[in-house]
Amino acid sequence: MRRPAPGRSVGDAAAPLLAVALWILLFSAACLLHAARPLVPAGTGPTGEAGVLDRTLGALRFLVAERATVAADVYYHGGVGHAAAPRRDPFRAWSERLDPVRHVHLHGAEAAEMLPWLRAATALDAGDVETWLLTAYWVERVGAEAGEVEGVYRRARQAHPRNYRVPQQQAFHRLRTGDWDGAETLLRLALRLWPQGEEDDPDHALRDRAHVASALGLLREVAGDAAAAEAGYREALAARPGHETAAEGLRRAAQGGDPVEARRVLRRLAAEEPAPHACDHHDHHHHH
Amino acid sequence: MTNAIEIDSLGVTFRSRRGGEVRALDGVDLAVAPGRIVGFLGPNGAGKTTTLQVVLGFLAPTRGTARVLGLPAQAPEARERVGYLPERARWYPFLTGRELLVGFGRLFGLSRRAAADRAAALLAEVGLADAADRRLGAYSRGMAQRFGLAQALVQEPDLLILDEPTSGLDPLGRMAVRAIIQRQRARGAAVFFSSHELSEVERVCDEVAILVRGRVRVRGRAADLARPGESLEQCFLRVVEAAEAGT
Amino acid sequence: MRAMRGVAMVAGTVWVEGFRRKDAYVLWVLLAALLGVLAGVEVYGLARPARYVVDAGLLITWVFSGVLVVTLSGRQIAADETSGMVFALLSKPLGRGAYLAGKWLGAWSMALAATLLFYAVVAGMGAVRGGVSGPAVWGQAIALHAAALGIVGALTLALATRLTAGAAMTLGALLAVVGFALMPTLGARAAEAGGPAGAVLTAAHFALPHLELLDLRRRVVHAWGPSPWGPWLASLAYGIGWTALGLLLAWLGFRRRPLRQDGS
Repeated sequence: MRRPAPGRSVGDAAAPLLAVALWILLFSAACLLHAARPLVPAGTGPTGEAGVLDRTLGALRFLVAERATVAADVYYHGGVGHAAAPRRDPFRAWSERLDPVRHVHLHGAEAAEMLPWLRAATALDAGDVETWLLTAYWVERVGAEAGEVEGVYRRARQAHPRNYRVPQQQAFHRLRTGDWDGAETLLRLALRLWPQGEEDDPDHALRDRAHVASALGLLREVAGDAAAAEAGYREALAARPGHETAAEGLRRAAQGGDPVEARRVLRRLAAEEPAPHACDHHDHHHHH
Repeated sequence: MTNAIEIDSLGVTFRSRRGGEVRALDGVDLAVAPGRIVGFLGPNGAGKTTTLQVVLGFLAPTRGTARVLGLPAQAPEARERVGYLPERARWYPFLTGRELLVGFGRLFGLSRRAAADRAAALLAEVGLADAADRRLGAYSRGMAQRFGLAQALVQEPDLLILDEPTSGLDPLGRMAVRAIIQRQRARGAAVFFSSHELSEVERVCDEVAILVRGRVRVRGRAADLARPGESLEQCFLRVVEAAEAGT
Repeated sequence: MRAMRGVAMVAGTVWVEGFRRKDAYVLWVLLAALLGVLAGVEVYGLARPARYVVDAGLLITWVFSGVLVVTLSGRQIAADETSGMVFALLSKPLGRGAYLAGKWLGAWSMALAATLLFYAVVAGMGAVRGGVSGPAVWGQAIALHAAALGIVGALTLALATRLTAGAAMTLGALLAVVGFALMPTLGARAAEAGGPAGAVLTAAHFALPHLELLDLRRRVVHAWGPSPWGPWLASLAYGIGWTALGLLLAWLGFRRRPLRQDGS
């Protein structure tokens, strides 16, 4: 029989593990200190991945999710975060010469680098619709298969069944893939889910409503249904008077509609969809 | 002829945590001649270990002088010719006996090969040849003590300082240690050792010094120190009691 | 020459102990397992993302290497004193300076060797997932990481000359965490605080090591390419300077200190 390893106390062997535990604690504390937004535990069920995370991390997972979203944004900017404007001191100047602080964005397939963080953020906290929208937007643009993009939207709608922004963004994805019928169904769903006076940002919601309604108008115009198209444009203009696409559509509809032009405009709208942002960008410290 | 150890009015004062002073040694006088075995006795806290630390250069004296082989105790050169067995030493448990002895040999400037040869010879001398490649952590108390003697003999020292060399050993172990010590004397080395084992001291030592409360109270041949019919143990108790009583 | 041999002998015992205790293996396996899990996470069917694996791997590498260098250098003196080994060693022709230098060299080189293995795993995982940065920036990052380990090891050793092993390790770890996490913003905090608190923070800003100057993870992870050589060399020199200062403090703390076997 072998003798037990001599001269080795439990304390010695446990020291590295204790240090790792300490590190996790410090990390958690850092998460707590940095949590900037209120936590949204809504829409997270005890099933699957979320259930496992819930049991292991508890409420801490919302804080970690918050950090993962920030990490995604930092990755998008080539590892450069949103530091406050630095004070000039010798160490900072030295550090900046050693290490980059230029403002860059990831382009094309490179943007996939931030997706693991968004993946983690949505797994840890399904309650933040912005993260879902951002994820879907980028999953589509880095060249993932269409099924993957649809999968993100499906899970986003499970987590946020009453939020119009998910079907709205998904509709424009369908427009890009050429599924115009699917797009129309989703746009109608978005209008049905419209918040009745409980939106966070009424101005933004009205802009969205005008966008969705005018897209519906365009779809109807393409289908040759000038009357329905006109109704769509009018609804858009009601939400946002002076909406340029709707105003032009209304002029065309008055003359019986122009399906070819409507199709062109629709394609352009779908192609030009701006990226949703994970973070507010006014706090960026940009070195162009 | 230069004494192996020459201690003159040695005083060591520690500052206690409360700011007071503690006199660990209070004028110790002692000499150890070459080729002699001197036992260093005293109750716990008498200052034996402090004395050894000064002799080995670990501690600077507050007063008096300590010379080793004619050199100041603090001089690094003195260490070249001194072998030391610390009390209750636990050797690096992850090294084998051979590895640590070779390392020690290298400290004395031996080549790798010479150090390996010396390690093998020493391990054979202390009866650990079979355990040479076993980890020190797996050595029994007696084996560790014999290893301690081996590491103290790496450079064939002129002075051997042993702190409680037989403590915790069974009779066989003691006999082995005694034999090693006597071989060193035969070689001409001086041996200075502290011990609580009075019978051991009586058997091995040429001379005895008894330290109580930081001062050497008596020194000389054991037979001369004891009164007629008195054992060394009885003599020791008498000296300690007298010193404690302040006489 | 004799002193060099002493340093090598003491460092060698640290190495053998480190190898046979297998702490580093445990951490290495832990790292490989963690990275394996991370690299295996399904990311929307994409093969591309590699940076998060390298990023997490380098973070874990820094933490583990820090743990290793702090535990290795923090426990040496106290362990030797408790076991009595320090008396056996210093009763031989081995000066206290050479003893300390050997302890530092052993702890640092052992932690560095383990760190190189960690880097191999991280770079390997990154390469499997499509690669991140070229060898030049990896080399620069590893060299500065080695310098950071030198600083932390030397300062922990200095603390260990006067404190118990546990206290030295805790303070060494704290110093490392502060050096990384707090030092980059300490100047700004000092300006904000103002008054006596600001003066204390300003003093700390200049008196404590800035480990962030030795951290090139961002360059490696986000494919920024190698750092300009001027600031890089300055950082390396900074690391070596702080290590030398740490060793000097260790020597000052240890050269005349009484040694006790009970470790008090």
